[in-house]
Amino acid sequence: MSRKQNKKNGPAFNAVPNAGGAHLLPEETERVRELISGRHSKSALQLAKDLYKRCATAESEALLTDAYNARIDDLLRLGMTVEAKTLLGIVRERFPSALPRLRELDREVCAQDGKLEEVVAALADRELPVEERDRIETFIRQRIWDLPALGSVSSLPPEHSLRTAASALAAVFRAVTTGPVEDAVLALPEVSRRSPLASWKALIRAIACYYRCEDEECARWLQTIVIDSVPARLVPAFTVMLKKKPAAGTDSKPSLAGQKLIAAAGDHGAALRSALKDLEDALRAKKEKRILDAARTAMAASDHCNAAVRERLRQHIAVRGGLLDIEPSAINAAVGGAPRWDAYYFRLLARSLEDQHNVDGYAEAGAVWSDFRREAIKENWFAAGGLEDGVLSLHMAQLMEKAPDETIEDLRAAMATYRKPGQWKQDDGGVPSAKTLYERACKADPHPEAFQASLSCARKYGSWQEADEVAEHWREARAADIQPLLYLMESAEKRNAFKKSLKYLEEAEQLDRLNPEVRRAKLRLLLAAALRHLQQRKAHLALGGIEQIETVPEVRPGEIAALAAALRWCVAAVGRDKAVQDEQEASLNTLIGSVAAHLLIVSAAEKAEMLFAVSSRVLKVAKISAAELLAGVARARALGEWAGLRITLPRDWIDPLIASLKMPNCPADATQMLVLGEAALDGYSPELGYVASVAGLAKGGANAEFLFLRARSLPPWASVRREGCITASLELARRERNTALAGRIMDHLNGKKENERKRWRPGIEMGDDPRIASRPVSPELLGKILEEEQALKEYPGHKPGDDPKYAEELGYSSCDCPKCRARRGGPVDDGYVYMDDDEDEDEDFDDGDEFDQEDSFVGPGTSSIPGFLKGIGKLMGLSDAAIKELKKAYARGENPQKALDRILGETFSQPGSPASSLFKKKEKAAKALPPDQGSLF
Amino acid sequence: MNQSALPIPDPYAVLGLGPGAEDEQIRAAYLAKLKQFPPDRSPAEFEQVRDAYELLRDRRRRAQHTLFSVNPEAPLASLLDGMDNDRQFVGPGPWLAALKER
Repeated sequence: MSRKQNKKNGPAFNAVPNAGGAHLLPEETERVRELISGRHSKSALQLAKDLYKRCATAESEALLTDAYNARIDDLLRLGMTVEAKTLLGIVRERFPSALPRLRELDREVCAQDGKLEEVVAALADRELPVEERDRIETFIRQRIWDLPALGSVSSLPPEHSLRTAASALAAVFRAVTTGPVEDAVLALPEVSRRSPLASWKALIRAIACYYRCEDEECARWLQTIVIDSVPARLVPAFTVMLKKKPAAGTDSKPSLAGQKLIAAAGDHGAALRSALKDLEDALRAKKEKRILDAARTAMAASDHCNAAVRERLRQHIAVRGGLLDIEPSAINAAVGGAPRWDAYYFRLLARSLEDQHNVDGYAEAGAVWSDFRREAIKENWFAAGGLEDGVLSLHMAQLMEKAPDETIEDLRAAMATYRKPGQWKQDDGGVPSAKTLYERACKADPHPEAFQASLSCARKYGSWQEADEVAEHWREARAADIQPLLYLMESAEKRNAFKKSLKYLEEAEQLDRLNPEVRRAKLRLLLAAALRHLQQRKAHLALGGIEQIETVPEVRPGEIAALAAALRWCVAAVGRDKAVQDEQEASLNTLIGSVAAHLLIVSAAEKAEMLFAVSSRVLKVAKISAAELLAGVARARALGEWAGLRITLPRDWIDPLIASLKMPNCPADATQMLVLGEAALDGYSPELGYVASVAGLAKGGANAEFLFLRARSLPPWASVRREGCITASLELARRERNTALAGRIMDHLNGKKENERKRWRPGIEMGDDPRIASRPVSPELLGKILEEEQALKEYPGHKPGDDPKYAEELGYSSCDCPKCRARRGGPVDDGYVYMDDDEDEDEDFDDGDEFDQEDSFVGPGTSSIPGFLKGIGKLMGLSDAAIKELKKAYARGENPQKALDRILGETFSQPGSPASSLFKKKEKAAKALPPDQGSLF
Repeated sequence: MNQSALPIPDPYAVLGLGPGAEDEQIRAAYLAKLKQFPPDRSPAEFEQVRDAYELLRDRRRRAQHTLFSVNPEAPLASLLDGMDNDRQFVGPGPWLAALKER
């Protein structure tokens, strides 16, 4: 004990009152006991010695031996075994009467000396008194920690339960602290509940649970440990490691060894995870200083991780920081050095750039993928020219295809500056062209997808010869594929090379005559030939073609005959043979009904440039029943779609069709409604499309299809609903495993919008965020969207801020910032530019179309929509009165498009009109890369 | 838009395979998992197993997964998922030292 403590507790002699009597005073006894219980054994012993010297009574001797006892115990506790043994010997010699009381200390000394034989020897005696057995067992429970030594004591027979239990526990203890163990190992049947080692069993199970991260179970096992047992010494350490509150009245502070154990076996990941979470928050907040500080902390907390994990962290932090335009040198300093530029890093960077969803990002991603390819081949991720190389090249090609040429050129120039001459010898500066990449993809992985993409690219950006060349390569690589033949057939037909076209068709038929695509292509080819002959007024040749058409097998009964009848009607019209015309029309009416017959004849005649023959034809749809009208239109559209003949809906049919679809018991089935909906979008009648979706959603059964239809029917200002519908539609399609629909939705998000009305482009760009494809959709959100959309039966008028209830769950808060207001269609102030402020927008305006800042439809201090409408009005040369009327209509809440239609008549609806060109945008600028279709399911 | 992505299960992990597993190993793992999660008893797990198998059985889709499955926006803490248990097995030594100390 230190001098300080002695001073504090007071000198022993001075504390003894000089009473002069031979008896101990109660307060003297009390004082010694107090010192013993306070673990001040040295002072207690000194005082007890003085008292014994003065009194020399049995009472004072008992007090002295107690003090000796406490002192020896303290010495043992401090590991001073030699001193303890010496003192014990002195006591034994001087006070023989105290021997029974010193037996516990003898055991302790033996235990510390490793002489467990002597401690437990008495247990071999079956006649051992119960009290003595209890004392020994208590000692074992409280003091013995060396299980292997206990398991091998020679004083007990090998089959003794204590030895077997200790041996089993020692083995499992080693196993459980060395690696994962099975439950069976933890059973430990050798250890009974009454065994003095029972708490060890609980401890071992607690350790196993700890390593399995079953913290609650671990805590439960710790609670079963007897509080004065040796295993209980680990409870404070466990309390820290499990992050639990210490139990009341227990010592919560781990011992020194306990702290070392925590440092060695504790959960280091917690601190690192916490640091990484802070870093995530900082990255989200985009605060540079905070990011750099958090990165520094995270890297410091990752000290215990292996080098690979630290490198990954460094790479991820560098990429994430780099995307926020933080200086690389600052990031490198924060993460303790530049990240390694390996394949993993380049892949991460490329994916990040792709996720920027802009054309610059795509081009840069393509270049970085190129770096990835080089490193991946070097690191043996895959071999050059192998399947993976093909898949990667295709992906790169698709990215590069999205980037405009000028962006790629700029990037090449930048890369050439960045890389030293001669470094990484690449002709294209590491930024390969889409064409090169497609070629490599098709060579490495001759998959139809690669050829199809390559062909599409060649068709879009190259000459017909280039596209034909790709198709020929496809043919050579995959002789059994029909698609290249069909493409070559179509290509030849477009160039009026009819014989060549037929040759390809024959080849396709030889491959698979029953293939529906081949049959359809044949029909389309023959129909196109017949129509061309009709255009040339070569009736006899057209008749020959019609006869050939009649040999094509039918998919739906009567359709080929109907098509042939419509063409014969046209042939008769060329010859002004009214009788034959009537005969064919009657035949058509019988085959497909009057409505479909009318549409088919008009469309065929228009295509054959015989407007003279149909200009006076009018079908009074008001007198036709709703069922007949809907079925007829749907049938004609389906037939036209199959045969490649575009069937357009007359404008005056739109209202009757809407009225028919709005009938309480709509007679059309889901298929007919969908066909009508597509016809509506094709015919620039979004309201009809919307009504078809209302009827379809009310019927149920094909909600995914109808939601997609609705999404495309909605006006631009309903962008949140549009997004909601696409989200729900894609999610439903995925759940129903409707790959065809999911593919169409992905194509739509990817910018391949077939049958899409061009004037909706602004709306599309506001609502069709390609990230929709990766949005997580909970069943609750899906249900809400579906329920609300089913309830919304009216075509939305323009009411700023009129968002659906599910808007918040889509991430659209009721925030009032200009961007959110613009997204909601509300007025935009604060100088926020409502339209895309891309310089190229100007391309869509004529030089003379500039208008004053004051009159601009964008800009501070103006309400965007009225300004926008005014701008349109000016561009279209509307009178002031018309513009005023347009503004009034907007103020009334009237759909601006309808109002424009009303004011302008049909002008606005025609593609190519000034209004439609006004809406033309540089599509690529906002196009984004949705996930591949292949990864959808 | 809320960009917090749902955790998409790693098909290799679903089938209990390492990243470089070959066709035969994939098939064997799939059959084993089918026994473990028959469709009538564990439909959700079965669907997950089937999806994972569908992805991995096709060499092309497998290659796509290998090349493009990295998610740069994934939480940084997910980098620690592949690590061994953070609670280190240190052998009996440190444990016994703590037990020895009264």
